[in-house]
Amino acid sequence: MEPADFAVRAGQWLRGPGPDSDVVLSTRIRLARNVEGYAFPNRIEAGARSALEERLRQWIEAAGMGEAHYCNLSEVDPLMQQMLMERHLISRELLQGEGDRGVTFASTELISIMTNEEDHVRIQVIQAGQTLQAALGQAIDLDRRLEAQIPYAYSDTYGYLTACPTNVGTGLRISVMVHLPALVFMDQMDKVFQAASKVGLTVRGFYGEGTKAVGDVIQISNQQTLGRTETEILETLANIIPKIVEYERGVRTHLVNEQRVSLEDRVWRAMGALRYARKMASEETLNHLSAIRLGVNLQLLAGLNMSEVNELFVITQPAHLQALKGRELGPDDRDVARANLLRERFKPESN
Amino acid sequence: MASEICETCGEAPATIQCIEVVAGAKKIRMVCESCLAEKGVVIDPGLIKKTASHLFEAIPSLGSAHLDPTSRNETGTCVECGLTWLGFKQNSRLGCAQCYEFFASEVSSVLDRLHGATQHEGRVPERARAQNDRRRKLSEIRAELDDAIRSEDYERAARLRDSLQTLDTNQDEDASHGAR
Ligand SMILES: [Zn+2]
Ligand SMILES: [Zn+2]
Repeated sequence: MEPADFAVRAGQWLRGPGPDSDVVLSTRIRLARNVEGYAFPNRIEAGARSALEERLRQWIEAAGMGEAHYCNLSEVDPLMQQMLMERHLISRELLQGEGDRGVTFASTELISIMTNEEDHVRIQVIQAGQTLQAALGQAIDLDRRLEAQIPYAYSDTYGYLTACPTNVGTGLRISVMVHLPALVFMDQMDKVFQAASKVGLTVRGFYGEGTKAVGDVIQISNQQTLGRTETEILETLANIIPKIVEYERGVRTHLVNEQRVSLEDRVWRAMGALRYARKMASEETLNHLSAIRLGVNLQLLAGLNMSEVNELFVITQPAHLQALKGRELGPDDRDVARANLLRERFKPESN
Repeated sequence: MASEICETCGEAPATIQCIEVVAGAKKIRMVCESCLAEKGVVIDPGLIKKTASHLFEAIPSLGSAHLDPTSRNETGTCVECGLTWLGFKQNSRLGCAQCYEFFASEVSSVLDRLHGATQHEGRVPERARAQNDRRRKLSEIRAELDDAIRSEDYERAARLRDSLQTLDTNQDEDASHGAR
């Protein structure tokens, strides 16, 4: 697997259409697991860690993930590491970690397993759109196959044991990434934050830091992992996500009916910048792409393919741009390369 | 200090500051030695004010499930991985599976705060489920065996003893299989 193989396309979870994909970008399931008899990665000795990494690789291979790739992060160059993170195949923690640690990911990029991250095993399933049931089912299915190979650290009291007490019990984190440009435009995000926190869910901006939702993309996830079954955790999200989707759709309709010119102005200004700018920063790009996504969804823009717009969220990020150019780029050069790529993708003839 | 009276009996002078975990909530109480021994409250060695050696000696005799005398040493370091509770507070990560047993009282109050729960619900790995099933089966058979002996039904008792033995043998086979 080379960086160049990745540079021009995003993973299937972002390209493929999915249920409610006008609002829901993706559904992600994460299961945290550890192996009995080994200290957690933050306290394991280097030798034991290497031995376990190799053992885990074999166990995962035996469990069967279809066509898959394995990378030991300690042997992969920094650009490839960064690309894996931009594609959501690995976490920042794995990237910044030390020593033997790895990822096995399916060629479809819909499933990945990180090894020796914060926990020995982190199973991830990521799918396009709102697919809570299906994604959880797939993660549990994979977990069962792994469980037949791996002796998991488990206690009757605390469930699956994890390095951080925030993950113990089910080890399950469900995260739904939603795109809420109309609610942000109408300053309604507080209501989403309140509704989610009332039922114990956390809301974070997906890109950028803190609660500021760069690109109008937020991630909603469960906080509690202990004392509730997997199904109960899923239901908390399954109850609230459709309400948020309906809310966003309602406000979009309102905007089209009542504030059409303001809406079109926002969409076409974004298009103007994407078509003609010569330097484009990452955060500005995400905000423009958000407006374009909204414009395509509301049929204000014709001739654009939604999955191609979606994948620009990933392939305009720094490591992807550098892989595309085949060399390292400083921040200024990246902004130029990004603007070039966007001009090409949005040039008027292609409409 | 000497004027403090035990919060439990209200009589003897309170010499020990201890942590009691009630329904997942952690309470710090001042108690006397005899109430401590009687109630079996959980002690955090770091919080004992009087460090006289006889008080330390009293700790392992407490019958509390939260305190496993075989794994907790005097410096409060997990015998398996060497983590201290201070170490946990510094980076919010436990070091190994045994830390959950070793720091059980501290962990349980952290979990209650984080999750509003201290007991796992949800999926159980197949291996743990099989072990639990066998444990339940064993205690059922033992109860039946007691009953058979009490009613002097020795034929039934012999049959039950046989099935206990069979279950134990399977257990051994499984244990050696698991250690592969
Ligand atoms: Zn007393
Ligand atoms: Zn430990």
